[in-house]
Amino acid sequence: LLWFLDLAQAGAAAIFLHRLRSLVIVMALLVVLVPFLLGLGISQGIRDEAEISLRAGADFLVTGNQLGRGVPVPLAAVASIREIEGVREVVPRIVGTIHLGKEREPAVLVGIARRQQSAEVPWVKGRLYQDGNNHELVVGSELAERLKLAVDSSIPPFYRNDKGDRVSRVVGLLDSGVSFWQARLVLSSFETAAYVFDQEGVASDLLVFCKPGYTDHVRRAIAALPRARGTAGGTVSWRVVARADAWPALHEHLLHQEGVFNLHSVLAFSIAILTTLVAADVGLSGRRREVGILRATGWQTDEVMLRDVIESLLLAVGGASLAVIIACGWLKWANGWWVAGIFLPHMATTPGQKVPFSLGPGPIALVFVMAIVIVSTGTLYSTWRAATSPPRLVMR
Amino acid sequence: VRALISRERILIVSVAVLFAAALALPHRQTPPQGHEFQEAVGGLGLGPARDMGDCSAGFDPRIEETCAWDHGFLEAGTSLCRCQGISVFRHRPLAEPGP
Repeated sequence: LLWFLDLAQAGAAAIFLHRLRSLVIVMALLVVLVPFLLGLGISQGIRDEAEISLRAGADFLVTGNQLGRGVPVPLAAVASIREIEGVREVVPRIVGTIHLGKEREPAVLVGIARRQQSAEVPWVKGRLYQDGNNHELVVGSELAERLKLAVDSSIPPFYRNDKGDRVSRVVGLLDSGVSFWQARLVLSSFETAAYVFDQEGVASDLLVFCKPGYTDHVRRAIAALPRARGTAGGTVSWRVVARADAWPALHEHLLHQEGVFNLHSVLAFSIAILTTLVAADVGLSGRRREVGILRATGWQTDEVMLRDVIESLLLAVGGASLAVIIACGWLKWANGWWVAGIFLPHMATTPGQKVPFSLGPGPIALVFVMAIVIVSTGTLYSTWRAATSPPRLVMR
Repeated sequence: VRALISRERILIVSVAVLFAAALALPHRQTPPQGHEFQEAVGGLGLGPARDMGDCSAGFDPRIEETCAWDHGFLEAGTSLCRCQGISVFRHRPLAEPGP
């Protein structure tokens, strides 16, 4: 054990012997690993929230299909679907784009009957809207910040309706940390959203909730429903998206995006290996001489190698730990300042909401393994070459 | 005493402390009331976009199946909107349209 501790101290001493080289290696690790962790953390954070969205959502989402494109679904279909055995609840919902303010900020208006008993919920500052056409809105955090909206603010008419345009009232603001997708959301009652879009008798989609064990039956029954009469006179067929369909697609899409990201990271890792290789051997002839002197003074090849393994481990573990600390701190306490805007579309330099992130044990372990591979590949090969050559040749 | 607190030992202890700190830091930021919010809106949002201005599929592919900027197959892959980047493979649709 004493022999090993002596070698460990010799490995640590080697870091101080070539301070610049050690610094270059740690910097190379940080430059490569921090962006990798930031990108992966944000991607997996969104995936975690998407899983919540799927879990809390309906078993089926039914929309219309006409001329091969998605169209609103007639509300007459609600009664037909409710009659299917095994259907627990059918909730019509309107989801559409609106533009607010002088800058015409894009927002997503969601009209849905309130599903909470109480209007007071912890994730809304103020209260939730009342059902009915009363133009009460709950606004997302980033939208409220950009439009300088507060509870009880009034929004002048932002739409055209032949029955008359009405002033809307903000009754609540969504908490910035409640969901990634709340930032530009405007929640209202179904009737208010129908009035804003000047549509009657249609919904963007129907949320179908089933009793346990009935999902296959309900899916077949919805697909077998007769086509509905569309607003333009033609018939509308059904497009049914099941939660079970979205699960694999979600992972497939995100894994694909992460795969592209990982591919770029592999290129960066290769550059880091070359950097350490240059720092270890090509650029430092003094280091080769040092190995020669150790060999000439009685060190065995395995002892020299073990000293460099310990040195590499210390550099790799130190660099990777620093990378994890910087990445977590950047995402947690700096809320992904600047970097969230690179990875996420239309995100400001200072995000107006909490940026989700998640770094599980897998990515963290991967980072440590990558750091060890990068530093070892760059260091050990050159040491092995120097240690197995005659000392008089290496000391030249 | 000087031998006991040599800079090599300080370095080894510092790396161990850094390693412990890296493992102890919070690695996750997910909303505590996210489930309740998603129940209220019926499950909304699956993609990297926060609005449907550019691409509804980037916001939630359950609402809109295909990317509005999908120009079909190009030589290097499929050109999509800013949410998707350039995809080498075509995305599998969530559901086929009914009869």
